[in-house]
Amino acid sequence: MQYKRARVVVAHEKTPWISCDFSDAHHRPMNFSTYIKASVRVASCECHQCEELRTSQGSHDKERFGDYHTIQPKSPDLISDHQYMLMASHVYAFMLKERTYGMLAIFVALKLLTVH
Amino acid sequence: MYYCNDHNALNDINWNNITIRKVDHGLISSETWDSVIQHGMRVSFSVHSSRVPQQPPLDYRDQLRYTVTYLEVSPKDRDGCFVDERTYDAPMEVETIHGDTAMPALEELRTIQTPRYRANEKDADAQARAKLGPLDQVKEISLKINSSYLLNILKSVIEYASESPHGEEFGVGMGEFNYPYKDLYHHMDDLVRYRAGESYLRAQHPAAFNERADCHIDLILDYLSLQRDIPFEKYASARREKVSVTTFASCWLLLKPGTDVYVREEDGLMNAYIVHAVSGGVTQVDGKAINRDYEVSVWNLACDGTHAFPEVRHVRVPVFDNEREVKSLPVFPVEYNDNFGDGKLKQELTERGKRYLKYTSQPSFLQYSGRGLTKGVEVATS
Repeated sequence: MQYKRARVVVAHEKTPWISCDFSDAHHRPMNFSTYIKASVRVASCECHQCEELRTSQGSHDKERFGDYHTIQPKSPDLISDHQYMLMASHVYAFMLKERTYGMLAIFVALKLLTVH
Repeated sequence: MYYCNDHNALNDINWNNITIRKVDHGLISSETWDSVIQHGMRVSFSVHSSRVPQQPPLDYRDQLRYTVTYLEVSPKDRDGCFVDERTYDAPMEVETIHGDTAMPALEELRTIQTPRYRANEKDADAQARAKLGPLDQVKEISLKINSSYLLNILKSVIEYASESPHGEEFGVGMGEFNYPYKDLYHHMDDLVRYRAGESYLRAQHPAAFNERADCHIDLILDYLSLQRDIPFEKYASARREKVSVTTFASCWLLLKPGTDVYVREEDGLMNAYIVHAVSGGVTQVDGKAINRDYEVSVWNLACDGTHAFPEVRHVRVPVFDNEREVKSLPVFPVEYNDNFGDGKLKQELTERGKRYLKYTSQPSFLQYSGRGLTKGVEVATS
């Protein structure tokens, strides 16, 4: 169906995915951090020399994707291009005319009217 | 029962070689039984001559022997598993010379199921290789890395593991990898780089460490490239071609956990994800190769209105014959697209991500034209 200047409201904080079922449910924001962290480890050599070097330099090991689990939209300076690239393709949108929810692809011609 | 014709029994009764037991109470002395027993009392009665004759006493050799039972323990089985029992005339002595403590750098461990085990002790040690009988089946194969040099290098490069990195049985933490050794194949390039001196880690290690490590890297690279059921060589050569193709069997080699991939959506667009895990493919069941669709777990980022976090989905790669262009797969590494393009897709996805976060992190009033909308079905909520 072709839409022309249809108006919608996007309000994810109202968790519309709880009351609305879509066939492609993978767009539903469900936190899988624990599941992912189970496969991630801190990569470091545990030999005597490297352990000593780490202690003397006071360096702390960082876990891969450690800063991908809670991204704050209000701090855009801390968000990398790679993180933006991984953002989901669809939003849950409430269609004002039809009074129902739809899954809207960000790639379509969208125009932001106002932000509340 | 009457004992009048049993000479031995009568003799026992005469000499009080009898056992009398009052039912539910206990023994009655054989010396006083005739004055204790009353009419109507329920007793059990036996004469000693009716007992089963005792075994003649064993003959004992006047010596002390020492039996030693060997239980093989491992981090997985701390109680140990019986492996051998030997008996000696002399007590055990403590060996102070460490003559045979060297372990192999790598060990392939195979568990074989056999309907009839034929021990061949005579020349078991002399045989260069074990033989798999016609009715034997390989149940499990794993590779144990004993070399601390090699294991430390692997620990320094494996940061997103195919096999439980924190597990107590397998994975890089334990130094034991299950066939088909996904974590090892995915990090072969890192080992080659270390060997070639292209790793910063090499400079931190003393020359003696690197000498031993190089030796063990050669061992494992030879071992991995000799696995005839894993088409690694074919995958490596296809990777260098401009139009890369893959067979179904080698698809998993393309999908290294923690790397970026594009997923082809139903609408034809491509979205970026990170590989989490791969299951399915060509697997051995009861000694036969079975092809199963791959199920690739991937994740991207979604916002719930407050903050963004990882969200997982599963992408299926159905079984296919012959070869297929990598870029045509439902999920494939980003470099197969980006290395031969102008990087436009990456840029578009980055810009789209900024809009996604802007629209979802606060209530937004939007206007749209065109297609790209799927209607949902409202579900009852309690």
